[in-house]
Amino acid sequence: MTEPKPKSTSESLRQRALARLANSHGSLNELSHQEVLKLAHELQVHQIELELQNEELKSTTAELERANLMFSTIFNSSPVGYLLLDEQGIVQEANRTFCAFIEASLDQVIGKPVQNFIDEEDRAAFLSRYRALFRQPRDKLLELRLKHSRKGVIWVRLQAERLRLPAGSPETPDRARLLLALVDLTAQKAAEQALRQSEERYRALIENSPDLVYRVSFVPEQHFEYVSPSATAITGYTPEEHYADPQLAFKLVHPDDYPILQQIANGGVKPDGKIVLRWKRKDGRIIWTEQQNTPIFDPQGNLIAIEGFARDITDRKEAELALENLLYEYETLFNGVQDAVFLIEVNQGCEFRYLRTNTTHQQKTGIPLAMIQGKTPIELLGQELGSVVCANYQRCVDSGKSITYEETLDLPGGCRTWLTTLTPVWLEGRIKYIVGAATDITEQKAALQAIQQSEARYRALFENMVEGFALHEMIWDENGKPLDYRFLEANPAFERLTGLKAEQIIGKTVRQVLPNLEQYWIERYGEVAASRGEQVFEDYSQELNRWYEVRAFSPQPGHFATIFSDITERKRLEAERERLIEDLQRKNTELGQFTYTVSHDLKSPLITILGFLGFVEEALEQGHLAQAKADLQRIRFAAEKMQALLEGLLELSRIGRVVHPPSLFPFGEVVIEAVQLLQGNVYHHGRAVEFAIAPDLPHVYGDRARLLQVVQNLLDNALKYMGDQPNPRVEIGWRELPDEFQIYVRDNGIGIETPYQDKVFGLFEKLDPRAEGYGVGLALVKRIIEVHGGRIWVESEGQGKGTTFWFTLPKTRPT
Amino acid sequence: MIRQEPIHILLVEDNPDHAEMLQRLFRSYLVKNILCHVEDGEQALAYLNREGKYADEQRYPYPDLILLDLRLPKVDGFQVLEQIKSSSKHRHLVVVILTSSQEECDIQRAYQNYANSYLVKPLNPQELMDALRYLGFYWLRWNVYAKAID
Repeated sequence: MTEPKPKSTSESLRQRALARLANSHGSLNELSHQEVLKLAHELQVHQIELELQNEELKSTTAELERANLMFSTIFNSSPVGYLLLDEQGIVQEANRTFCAFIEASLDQVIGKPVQNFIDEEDRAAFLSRYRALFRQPRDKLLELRLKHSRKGVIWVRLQAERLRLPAGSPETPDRARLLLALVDLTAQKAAEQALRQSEERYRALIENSPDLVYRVSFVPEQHFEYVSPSATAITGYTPEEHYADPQLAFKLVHPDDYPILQQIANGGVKPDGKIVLRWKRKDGRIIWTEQQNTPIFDPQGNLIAIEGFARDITDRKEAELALENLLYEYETLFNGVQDAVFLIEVNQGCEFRYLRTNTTHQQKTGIPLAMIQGKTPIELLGQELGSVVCANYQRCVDSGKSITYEETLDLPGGCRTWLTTLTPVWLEGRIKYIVGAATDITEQKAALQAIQQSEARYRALFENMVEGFALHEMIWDENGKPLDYRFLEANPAFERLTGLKAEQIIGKTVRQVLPNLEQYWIERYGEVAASRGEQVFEDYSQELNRWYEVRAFSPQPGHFATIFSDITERKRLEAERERLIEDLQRKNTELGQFTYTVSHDLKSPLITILGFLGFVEEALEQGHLAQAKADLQRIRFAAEKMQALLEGLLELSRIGRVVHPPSLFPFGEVVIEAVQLLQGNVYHHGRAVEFAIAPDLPHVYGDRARLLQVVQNLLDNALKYMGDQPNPRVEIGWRELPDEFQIYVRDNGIGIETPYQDKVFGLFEKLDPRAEGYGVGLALVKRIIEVHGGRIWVESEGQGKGTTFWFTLPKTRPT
Repeated sequence: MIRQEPIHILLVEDNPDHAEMLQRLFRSYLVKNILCHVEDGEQALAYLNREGKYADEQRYPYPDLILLDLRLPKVDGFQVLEQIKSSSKHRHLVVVILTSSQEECDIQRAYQNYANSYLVKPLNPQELMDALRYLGFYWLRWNVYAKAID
């Protein structure tokens, strides 16, 4: 139907006119001439009329065709698809637009039932409503889907109009037509779909958003118009609970934040909109939210609603608080540390500027932050000191690592020595900052110096001290039993005293150094090291023949030190003292005995003298001269005895006091001299005493004169107690022992009974009261021998068996 | 009660002069009594135990009183005293120590060993005589003795 087809139309018209004529009721054969003329005339007129009409018709047709072309163009060019349907829904007419909708040709559309083009989904519904639509199409708007060969379906909106035929035309039912105007809804549907999807997305977004989205309406009264499901997660209250209680927000808000909420409810929303509020959750936990509220006003400017969303920022807030705390802690730390901490900015061109210092820095340097901030070292400290400081900063930058050094700076806070560590901070590929931390070591330094001096002093003392010093570390087994100890330190005196070389023992254990050391040493030192006590003991070294005093103490747990001092001299003096004391005691005893003896034995002759003087007087008075003479004789003897006793005493005391320097001499000589001195006494009861003198008597050390006295006295004694021995014999011999000579004088006289053998050496002691002498001789002998460092004793098998006096003389020269 | 019959005295004295002096004094003032003299402790013990020559009871009668010197050869006075006082046979004997020693240790030791009296020989002969006299009066005249146990 793109172009009109006039020819075919006129042809069809002719055919149709012929057909009609054929079907007409009249017949020309039955007409008169008049009638025929009239008819002819009429026919002519009619012809003219027809021609005129035809003319008109042609013009009309032309007009019509033009109109038709125009309308068909409009009809076909309209964006709306048109269908002209008969009552049965058969398509009578369709425009190209419709054809385009379904991508079909006009031929495929015309004469086809309209349902053919409707998607199965909508077809039944459409058909059921078609009759009603046909009868009363007004105000009915349908949307349905058309089948589309490629797209499947296309949505169209359908509006129907009962076609109004031109007035005057008989309206027959079969001519009734329904014009369907169809608008392609594809784009709209797509837009709708997009909108819906978008809406769904937004809704889903809101519904699923962790944020609480809400709308509070104030009309008619305050209530929640919408609360997103996330309310449950955030507040613990479901949206329904919010809806049920319009005041819930005010109930949940943190008391401190209540005024803010009130302000919001009154419309006083901040322009930037963000508010942080605290809430009490259903479970009692306090949460933080950040809210953004938008007030909604009606045209009159009244607040009718607030829309907004709240985000649970508890975690963020807590993180913020934690961060705040952390910052606070860092700040506290920064200012609390005992080190002076400073931050330096390193600018391009290696310019250093102080950014921050901590409290310690400010206090110790005496430079307040305001004075230092933003300054370079040179600006702050001047050229000289500043350059030194800068050089260190530069060194840190150059090395790119932490550096530590000591520096002494004279700052307003005083001249202090610092141990400074500079740590570079790399940012963006270069050192941007230096963090400095300086420990004030002024006092340590001074203390160190003092310690060094002290150490040097002690070291000198240690090296030079006379006492041997050694430090050891104790080694225990798992049961705490001391096993061994290790030498840690030993001084030269230790080396000297023990003969152990420090370099050979330090680091080694005593078991390694002295494998044979008795366990008790280790136990003793273990006790010291464990108890941290002190022990002092004396020790004798056989190898060195020296005495040591060892003072062991524990300077620190598990360690012990020993201080050795050579006390050999002290020991010797002690022994000497002991000996002297012993000697003195012996002398004292002797003196006591001496005094006793003297008081008794000297008194005896005195008693005799005085007593007999009385008798003499008596005898003279009575003229008994002979008696007086005899008594006077007794008196003389008593006086002589007294004199002898006094001499003996004197002699005895002299031995103790006067000692000639010892000499070495042959003892045999002395013996022969003594025998010669006996002179006439060598005869006993008229018989010559036989002297048997060993020919090889040794050379001895001693006071020759005193030893002569010894031999004399012993020989005297032997002869005195020879008794009635018919063959008197005195033998002098000797034997040698490692340290001493033992010399004897043996007689074959009366002998001494065993119980009395010790008494013979007692002063004034006489076994036989009638024997000659006064009991001085043997006491004298004993004294002399003892003074020479020897001993004397007597051997006798008893009465009549003879007596042997033994005495010893040391081989070495007496001191 | 004053004793009429003589008592027997044993003098143990090593110093012959002293013995002579005492004997003379006894003879002068205390004639009725019988004095025997031994020179040392050994003899004294032999006398008491009637050993050797002392078996002759007529010549050496058992004493009532012993005058004992301390410093004696061989067996000294203390040993004699000890022997006497530890013997059930002689324990009853009155032992008077007569010595020149004034030493406290001697005095103590004597009494520890049950000496009955301790006399120091005075230097002055008059005093010695007085001492013996008073000694005599008391011990010889007034003191009652136990009988010897056989």
